[in-house]
Amino acid sequence: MNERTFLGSGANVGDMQDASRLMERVRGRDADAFENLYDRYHAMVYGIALRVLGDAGSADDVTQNVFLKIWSAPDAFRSGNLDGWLARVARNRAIDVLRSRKLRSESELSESIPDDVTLEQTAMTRIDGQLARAAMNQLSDDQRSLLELGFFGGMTHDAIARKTGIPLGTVKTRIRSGLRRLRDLLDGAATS
Amino acid sequence: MNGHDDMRDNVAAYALGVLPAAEMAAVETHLQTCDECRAEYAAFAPTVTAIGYSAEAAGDQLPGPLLKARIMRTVRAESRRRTVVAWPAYLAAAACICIAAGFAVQNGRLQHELAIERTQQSVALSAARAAAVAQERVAQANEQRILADLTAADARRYPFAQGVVVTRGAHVYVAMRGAVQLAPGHVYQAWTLAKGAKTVKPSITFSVGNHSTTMIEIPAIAQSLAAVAVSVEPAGGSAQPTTKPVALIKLNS
Repeated sequence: MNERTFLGSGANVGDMQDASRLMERVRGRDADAFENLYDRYHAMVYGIALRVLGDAGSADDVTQNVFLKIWSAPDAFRSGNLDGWLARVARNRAIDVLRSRKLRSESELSESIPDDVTLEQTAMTRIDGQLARAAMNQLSDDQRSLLELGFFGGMTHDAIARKTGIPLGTVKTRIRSGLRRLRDLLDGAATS
Repeated sequence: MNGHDDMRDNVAAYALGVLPAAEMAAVETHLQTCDECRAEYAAFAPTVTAIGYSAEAAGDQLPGPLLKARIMRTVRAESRRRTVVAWPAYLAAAACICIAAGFAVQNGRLQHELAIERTQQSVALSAARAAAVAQERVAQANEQRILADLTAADARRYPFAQGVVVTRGAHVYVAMRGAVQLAPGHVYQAWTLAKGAKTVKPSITFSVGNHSTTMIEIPAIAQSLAAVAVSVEPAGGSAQPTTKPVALIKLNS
């Protein structure tokens, strides 16, 4: 896992083919392939759910839900970046649970990121938590907190603006600059 | 800031998943026609994935092996049903029969159907599947043992409102039917009371589906137990019961 690096567009066709082959075997009801998939991705799926929901039991439930959904409906993943698709599905399912708790008003919670985003198919990533955390830690506090509130907090940008007291336009600009900076940091880490 | 700068900010917000629903359609339409924004979105998408990876669990944060075991049990059971054997269905049938009025276990019928299944299984085994089947034989043997226990004449059965506790030899099983499917974040948890003990010990957690029968094996020695209980607990289970048990069954083994 520590050998993973962040790679930009079109740079890691082998990984994508590997993931596609794995999913093809899962579609063929290959339980061993599914176990391989679980071993590779459960730490990421569980980690996202834990970060969003804050308790291990609910993170267990989301992780189980995500992986059993993959097993029961493997065609939901068509092609492209399996890492990105799983991260979106894990985040979306965790936010669904957050929404069901109704701890915050519905309008504060963002819509799910579409699970199926074909545009992403040209961009692939091999990354691990250590590299991602190192890059996140190099962002400014403002940039990092806005990106984390958006992704893990499941908040809309205007809810973030209300929560932080930062004008909406500034929130949007900082999110974009934060993503660009993070992308540059990850690309730099991959090439260094 | 001009209109296109606004749209680029919205593309970033869309990639992060923070755009309100009312604004999403406009961004999706724009992405179909603007190469520059489409390229930026394509670059942001794996960056957002990296934010997810920054939460990747490690060390003692990782989920325990029981989660994987629970998921793989479901997957392998379903995989087996689609290939050569159907033991889980028979276990469910056996559990249903145990629960039925009077617990008149229809051993003859079950054994007959088992024999048919064994015959079908032996015919279906191809050389290509032999390796996979060998791996599954251990699981099948375990399931056969459970089936034998559930249907044995000398098994002891302790009915309660939503099911039955069955003990045979050292083994303890709880079969539940018609129990309420719990809301997310809650599970059923079994508890054991050892002979001479004053407090119960936590055992396994499990879920039930609506209108289905759930059978679990309690990891304990039947002869050492004075009672078994089941309660509703928060997901992940509790160290001590936090709700009134839905079942409290004294054993006479």
